[in-house]
Amino acid sequence: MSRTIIVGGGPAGMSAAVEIARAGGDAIIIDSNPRLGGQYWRHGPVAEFSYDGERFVALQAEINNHPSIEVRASTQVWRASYQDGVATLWLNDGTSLTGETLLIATGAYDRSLPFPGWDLPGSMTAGGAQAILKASGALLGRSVFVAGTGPFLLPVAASLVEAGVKVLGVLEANRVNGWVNHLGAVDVRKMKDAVRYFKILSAAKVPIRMGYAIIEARGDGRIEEVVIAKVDRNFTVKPGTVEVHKCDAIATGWGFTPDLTIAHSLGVSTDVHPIDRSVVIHVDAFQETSQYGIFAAGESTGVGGVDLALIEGRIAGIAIAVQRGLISTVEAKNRSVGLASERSKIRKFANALLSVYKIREGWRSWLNPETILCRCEEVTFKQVRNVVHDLGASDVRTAKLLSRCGMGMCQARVCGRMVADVIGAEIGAPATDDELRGIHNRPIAHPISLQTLADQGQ
Amino acid sequence: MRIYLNGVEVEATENESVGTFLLKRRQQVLRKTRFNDQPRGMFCGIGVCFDCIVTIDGIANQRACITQLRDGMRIEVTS
Repeated sequence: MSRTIIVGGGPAGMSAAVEIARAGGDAIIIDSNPRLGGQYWRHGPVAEFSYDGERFVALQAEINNHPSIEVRASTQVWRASYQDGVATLWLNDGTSLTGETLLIATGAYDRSLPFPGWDLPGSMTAGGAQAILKASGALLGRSVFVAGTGPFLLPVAASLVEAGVKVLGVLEANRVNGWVNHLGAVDVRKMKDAVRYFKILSAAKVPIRMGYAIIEARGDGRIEEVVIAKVDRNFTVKPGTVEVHKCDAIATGWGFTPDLTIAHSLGVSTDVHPIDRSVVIHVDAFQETSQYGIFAAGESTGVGGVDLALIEGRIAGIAIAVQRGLISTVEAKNRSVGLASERSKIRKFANALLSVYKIREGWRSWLNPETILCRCEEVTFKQVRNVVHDLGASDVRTAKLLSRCGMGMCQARVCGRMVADVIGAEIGAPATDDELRGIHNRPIAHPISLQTLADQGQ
Repeated sequence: MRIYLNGVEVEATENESVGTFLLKRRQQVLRKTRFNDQPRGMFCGIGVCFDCIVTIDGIANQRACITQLRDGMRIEVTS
């Protein structure tokens, strides 16, 4: 019971585990991946990184050297609860874990926008394209476009170039002026990152086109060509700017969605982010949530990148050590020097990026009536419009129940937010904060076998 | 190690997911959808979207992207 349960072995979870162990505490890290590192430090059997691997290697070495940290990889949490100060996690290996202290470090995944043909094989998320490359050197295609919005498109395109993929273009839907200056204001590392990506892309003569988007993908059973166009500041297609290009794959990304499935089951309070209206875990200055003993760090408290995740993880780990009585508050202060100010500096910068790389409403103009919105249940834009206009659905939940949009295997992880926005626009009233929160309600986090269910019921 | 892809024995390296293994064999299409019989492949690559579901060792709806290859594994894809 005294052991801290850490859900997620990415930067936040790893740095928290190290702080807890340094203070003399025990921790167990649960991760669905076969290896530590999360999405940012995803790697194959050998921990090799083209860039920024040193920090991972150091953290992993410290975790390996602490007998008080257990790592349980390739393990999924399918259910979580919090009652009378005790958190319980049910794992897909048929076992369960209980603890009075738990850290949610579940990270985030790509936010996607639909367009005609986005469901064709060869269409991947930007993070997915990066993940398969990092994990095993797999390439999504041979000639590809990288499109969407956000600074993440650049490292994805750069690593594809380095892996030998012909990147036909990076299409940034927002018009971004002087963002490199913004980056420089935060720290030298980010500046160096950006320069490095631009060098790789310009050496490979990859065009970076601001104010462009993929508005359609076409092909017979797989992507063979894409339609791209110039979009205005609201993402509406500018007439007469449409181009068609041959390619065999595309990687699209529109920022990230914090993964709140476990958080929701644990009953922690959430905020709706003032800039992008994503739902994030509410935490105090010590990264503790509204539930005593439940902490959160990293992207699940608001998307901010690896440096913020590492700092939040450290702050959480130190606060957990205090709550468990392992160190004094004076000692905690000594261990936390500079962390809080660094956190607020990076968070401010992350929010500036969120404002610059916002998803603008005009994306809905790319849809045609037959465009799939919910990939799992194959629900089209027309069907969603019909439940609003013909069946009178006047809220997100009713529209979802009537159309089955978001009720498939992914449990609305991919389409939830975007469908809420479409329904909101059709009804004429944007989704409420509680409707946005409701998207993350998944009592069964991942599918499990009836056998596992039966075993755990005993 | 050896795995069986639609019943055919093929050589595979370890420490790889079913999804990346198939992609390297240029198997972009992993299944057909239930209602419209449309082809689908890997989309999110990290276990979120359930688009890459295949049948593994007789069990349907397994995510290819997060399932690691094992010796003797039987994988069924529809393309």
